[in-house]
Amino acid sequence: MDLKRKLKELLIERLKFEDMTPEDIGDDDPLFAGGLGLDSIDALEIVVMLESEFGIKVKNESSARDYFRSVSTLAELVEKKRSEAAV
Amino acid sequence: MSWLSNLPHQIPFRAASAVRRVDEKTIEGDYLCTVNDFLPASVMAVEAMAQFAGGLVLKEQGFLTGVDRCEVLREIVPGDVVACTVTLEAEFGGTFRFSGIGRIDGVDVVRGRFYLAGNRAEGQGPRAEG
Repeated sequence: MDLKRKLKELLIERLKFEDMTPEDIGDDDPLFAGGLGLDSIDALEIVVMLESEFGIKVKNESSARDYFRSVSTLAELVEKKRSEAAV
Repeated sequence: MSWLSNLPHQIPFRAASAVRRVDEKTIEGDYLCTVNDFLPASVMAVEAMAQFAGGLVLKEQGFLTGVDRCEVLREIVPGDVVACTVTLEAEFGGTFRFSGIGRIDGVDVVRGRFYLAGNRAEGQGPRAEG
């Protein structure tokens, strides 16, 4: 499955976006202010999701800020960690 | 000094009565239900678990920012002692997620997930004593 679509499905499931489908979330839509309107609790749930689904541990807030901007940037993070793990 | 000493809650809103055990990610303590409780016992039990969570990780006053998946499985009545076990599941950026279970005589009576926001205590373990 396309990684971005999988991320969208996980976001919908984990953040309980009832009545939303992956098609409702644009790849580059902002996840936080002005976009989906996520908050700090949602950010924590994304951290938990990345660890449980992809084995990625996010500890650095400043780097998370860059990667948590949109589905596209989250996908970049997953791909980056996957390629690092493959080396 | 008690692990609960930094909590701002005072009677009648202090639900967490006593801590029995603490480790890196878990705190166990009791909520004693009395006829004088200011709020319904099930609400006080949930509040107690949130207060234990604060006692586990917060250095100073924090905020309960969310309660999720909360279930009350049995009525709690005056005289009951609810043994609470609260576990830190995740933290990020000053937001903490906990799971909590309250048991009476070993039987689950209340459970839920709690979110707190605040400054994490530094030092040995989840929170520095004293």
